[in-house]
Amino acid sequence: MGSSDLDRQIRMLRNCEIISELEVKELCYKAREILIEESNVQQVDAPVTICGDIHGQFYDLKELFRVGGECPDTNYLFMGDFVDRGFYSVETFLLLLALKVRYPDRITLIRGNHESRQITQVYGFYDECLRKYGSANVWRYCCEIFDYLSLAAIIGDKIFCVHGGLSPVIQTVDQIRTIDRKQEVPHTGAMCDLLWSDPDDISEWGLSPRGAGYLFGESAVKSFLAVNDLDLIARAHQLVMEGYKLMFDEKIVTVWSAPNYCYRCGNVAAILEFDENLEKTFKIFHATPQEARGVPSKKPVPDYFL
Amino acid sequence: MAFVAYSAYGGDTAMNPEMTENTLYPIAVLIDELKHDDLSLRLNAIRRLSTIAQALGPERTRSELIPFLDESIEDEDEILLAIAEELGDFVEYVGGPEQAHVLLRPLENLASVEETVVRDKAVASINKVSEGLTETALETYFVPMLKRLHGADWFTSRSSAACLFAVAYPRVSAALQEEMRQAYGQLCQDTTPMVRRAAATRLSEFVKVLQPEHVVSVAIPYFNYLSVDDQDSVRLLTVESLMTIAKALTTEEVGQYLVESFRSLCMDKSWRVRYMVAEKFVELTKVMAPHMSKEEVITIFTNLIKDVEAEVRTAICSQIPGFGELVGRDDVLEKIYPCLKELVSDPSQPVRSAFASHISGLASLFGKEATHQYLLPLFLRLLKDDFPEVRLNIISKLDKVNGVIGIELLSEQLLPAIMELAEDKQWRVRLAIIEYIPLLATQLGRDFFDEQLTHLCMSWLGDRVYSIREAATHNLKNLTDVFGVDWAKATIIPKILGLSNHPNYLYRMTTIFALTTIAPSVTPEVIQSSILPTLEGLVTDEIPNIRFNVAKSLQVLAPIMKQSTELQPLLESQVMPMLTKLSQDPDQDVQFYAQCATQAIQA
Amino acid sequence: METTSVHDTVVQGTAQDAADSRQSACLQGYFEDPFASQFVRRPTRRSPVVNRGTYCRFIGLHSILRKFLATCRDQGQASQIVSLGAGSDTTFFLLYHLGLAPTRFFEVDFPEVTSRKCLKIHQKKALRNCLDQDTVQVGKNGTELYSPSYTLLAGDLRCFPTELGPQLLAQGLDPSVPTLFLSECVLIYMDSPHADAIIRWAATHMLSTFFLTYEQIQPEDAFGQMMISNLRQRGLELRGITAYPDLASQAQRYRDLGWEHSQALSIKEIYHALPKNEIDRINRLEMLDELEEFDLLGDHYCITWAFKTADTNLRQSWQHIRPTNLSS
Repeated sequence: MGSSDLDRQIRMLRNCEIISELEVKELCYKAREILIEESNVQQVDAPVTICGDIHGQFYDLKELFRVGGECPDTNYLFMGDFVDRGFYSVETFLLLLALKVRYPDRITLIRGNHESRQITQVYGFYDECLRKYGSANVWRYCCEIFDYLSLAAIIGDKIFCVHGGLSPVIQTVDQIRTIDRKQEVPHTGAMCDLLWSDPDDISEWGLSPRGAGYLFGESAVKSFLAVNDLDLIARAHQLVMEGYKLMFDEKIVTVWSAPNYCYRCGNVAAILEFDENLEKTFKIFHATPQEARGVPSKKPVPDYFL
Repeated sequence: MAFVAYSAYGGDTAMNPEMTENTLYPIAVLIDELKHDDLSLRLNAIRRLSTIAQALGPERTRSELIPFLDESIEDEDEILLAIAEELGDFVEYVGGPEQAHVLLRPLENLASVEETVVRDKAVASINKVSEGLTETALETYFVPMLKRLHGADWFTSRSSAACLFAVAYPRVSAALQEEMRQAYGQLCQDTTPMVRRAAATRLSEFVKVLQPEHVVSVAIPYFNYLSVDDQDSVRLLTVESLMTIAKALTTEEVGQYLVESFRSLCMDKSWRVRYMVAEKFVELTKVMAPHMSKEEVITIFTNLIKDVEAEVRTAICSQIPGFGELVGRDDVLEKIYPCLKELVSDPSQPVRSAFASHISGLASLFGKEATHQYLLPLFLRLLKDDFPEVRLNIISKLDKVNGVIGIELLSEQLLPAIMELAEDKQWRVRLAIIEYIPLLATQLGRDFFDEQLTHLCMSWLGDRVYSIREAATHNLKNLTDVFGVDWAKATIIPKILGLSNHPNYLYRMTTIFALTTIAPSVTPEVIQSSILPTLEGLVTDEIPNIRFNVAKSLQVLAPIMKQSTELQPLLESQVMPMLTKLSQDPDQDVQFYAQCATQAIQA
Repeated sequence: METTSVHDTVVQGTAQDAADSRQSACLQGYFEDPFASQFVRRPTRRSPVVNRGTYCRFIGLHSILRKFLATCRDQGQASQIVSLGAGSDTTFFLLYHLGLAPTRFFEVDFPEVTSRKCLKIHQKKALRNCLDQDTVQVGKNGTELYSPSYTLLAGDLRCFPTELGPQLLAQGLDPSVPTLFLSECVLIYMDSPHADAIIRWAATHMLSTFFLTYEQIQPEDAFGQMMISNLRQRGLELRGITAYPDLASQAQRYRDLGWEHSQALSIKEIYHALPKNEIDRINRLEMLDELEEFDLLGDHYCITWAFKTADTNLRQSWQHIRPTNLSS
């Protein structure tokens, strides 16, 4: 696949048009070659802009780029949950993946708990692939790629980025590096916890109501930062109505990048820019106005209890 | 039934002789698929029903295929919909118009099912098929079918019946016509609103085929039932029929029979009905106006503007310019303007939003002075609205007002508000202002602009939102085109260059974007003395994104430099060394863009 | 589509929407309703948040409703249920199937909706079998259905005190029999004076009566605003929401309208109060990742119940009614 083909595919995907099944297959093949070389904990240089859950809200991803700048001009780190819930998981994930293949040093993708075979069959990505391609092949190609995504990233040796949070079985970043990540997200264990856990106002560890991962408290955060000589944990995973939320003396931040989540929640979204000196700026954005979504996009109809 | 027992490999001799052995097999497969368990296969077979019918020939289509389809009534709605659609084009396959009546039986069943989409499609197909029926066939088959549907227990059949009157009425005997007119009246008074709605919806087309003498004696009473129906969902449909019936009547008759209904629809107790009236108000008024005083029409209009329901006020806003044309400026100013003024502070945001979109449409009617005196104050208020959409709608329609009062007056009045919006929290509002700036610049002139707006234009380069920074660079190019290179050199370029030392890479990037964007509009000297040295300084920037944007910028500059005798030599002496350095960069994106630029220069 | 109007589609839409959601939750195993499929053309799969909410709504309403019926039974009394704006609700059929049906069950709704329901009952054997078929009569051009156990009446709830109320009494609603009025997402679509008139009518005309309501609350926060705007896009106005915007005002409403006791709980509260083994059971049915979203959704719906009776025995038992697990 030449770069001109890839550029054409990126153009199509940016217009929310899907590429052919064969092109997806090739794209995933290329992506795998790149991702396989990446560490479980990917080292990322500042400056970089970090983003939380997108969940197939393609037109809001476009809004994110309008606010934060286009890739490759702006460097991005997406902290997982690209797919499910929204109506355009296919376009969203393939665009991000195509950008990853085209500009591997400019964009980092780490895995979220929705990048999983099991979850995508419940939350929409599987059905969407079937609907848009008439078969589950594209879903299969994408799920294979999910297994290769990094589990975490560290920006400038100081900021630890992960989709969910910490795990009681992990004290050091090096322990994460030893996980064999190339598998479906397990139901328990370190890899599962990184993708599923949530911070909570408890001291150390607690059971998660989600049925996977743990709740972790302030002291768990502070000791992880101290042991690994880090300043901050950045994570996504939880809807925050204000777009971002700092906790525990600003030692952990939740970034949420899906505005009006599920077209229903009424929340704003945020991205977090780190400049070359690791100074941080939050940028808040709203859902793309309907008229800026382009003609073919139908107004989404979220479910309520009627 | 023979057809159901038909074997896929039977080699039936009754087959259409034109069919060859090769086509037999797929036909047999299709026939099997009609009965297949898999919905998508069945659907596929239905979609190729005409192929099957062609293969079977008209006689077997009539005697076997049609009865088979008739029995498929229990199938999924999707299948029923497809059958209903296909049968509409089936006349030729059953042996032409003389035999077309056999299609009515399955379509009648489909016109009675619960799913509205299927019924609507079946009705459409019945109408299509009936066009070709002979008068005898109409009376022998169609009319009895209509009677069955009309007298059925369930609303589904009766709703469909209402849709079938117009096609047959002109071609049946006077006695039947009389019966049909009666029957339609029963539908207009059916117990279920669904049937009355169908009757209301189809009244227009029935009126069109009625003899003139019956329009007044039949259509008017039916319209009158429906327009006072206790369900608003029925009444609102009569707004549409009002127009059609009016067209079938003489002007006098309109005055005599319809004006009263129009009045009551305008004041209907349900807002949905008033909404329908409001949406079409100008069109309706044009028909009714000869029979009503101007005062009355204006009163109705202002009542709708003051309606208690926000939806109605929103709808009537779209009629403001058209209605203004209809009654003239003086009446608008005297009688309507006082109400319009109130809409500026309407409690509903969609109302203010709609008002903001349409109010500028009055400018041309008002003329310069009245626009200045009456409309500008409203604009100013709307520009300060809490909701961004309201502000946006005003800004994006300002060009209509420019033409009437001239930009000077407009900007003088609006500038303070514009300055405020230029820093609006919503970036799309800021963007709308930026897009309006070049127009302002052409009209305001350089000195005034420098005094008031240049600073603002530069501040957008440092906006937090990327799209605003990008728009700001294009704006600077447009301004350079308006005010000339000397102005750019003196006013904006130094400030752009200043940003090249910004500690945040995104702003340094803006410098590159801005310089690249204005390059086609500046002199070779500016490129040589300002742009190239700045880019050169950024070749060694720490951030790869900056370095590859230098390369991208050089690629854009190359064709411009090639065309200038002064700059052409610099490609070799200055640009190529920069690119050579960049193409040895450790970052692969920098290398890539440096190579692209090198190729562009060498090409 | 030519034979329908905006209003028609919207009205049917909510009934169909509720039926689709109920069927989706049943298919996932949240609760059992063998009649859910009868009102659904093709099963839709709702997201886990919506399934769980549908389940809480069902559990909340049915646990109260069944306790109401049980107290009447325990005291050897007859019972009646009046379902307001019943739509495509299956409650009667389900209760009949479980052997729990009240003495009489009345449903009232717009003729659009009742004529569809009549047609469904006519077409579907499973529904027909819940009625004594010799006694069933269809009336008013297929918009009403009468039988000794189940009666379906057509009308406009906005004219309840003058039309539907007297019609119910004429059809045999007995003011001396303990009666539960059920309203699920119905009152909220009316201007509150119209809705209040129904609540007041029930309090004044019935001797021992119980009111059970499920509807939206919290219109002011970001989620609530979006809910109102999304529903408006579909042509649905929550006209009553501002008058009773929270749990406290929901409960107070009934006391102000002549009821002696009332209480309101949000769907979120009902969910979090479920027994642990029940939460474990539904957690196993379907993974629910979107906890924050579920809590948001659950904060915006509430179940309110109220009663009024002169019968001390009934009062004694009704005071303790809470929405809980069905089996407890």
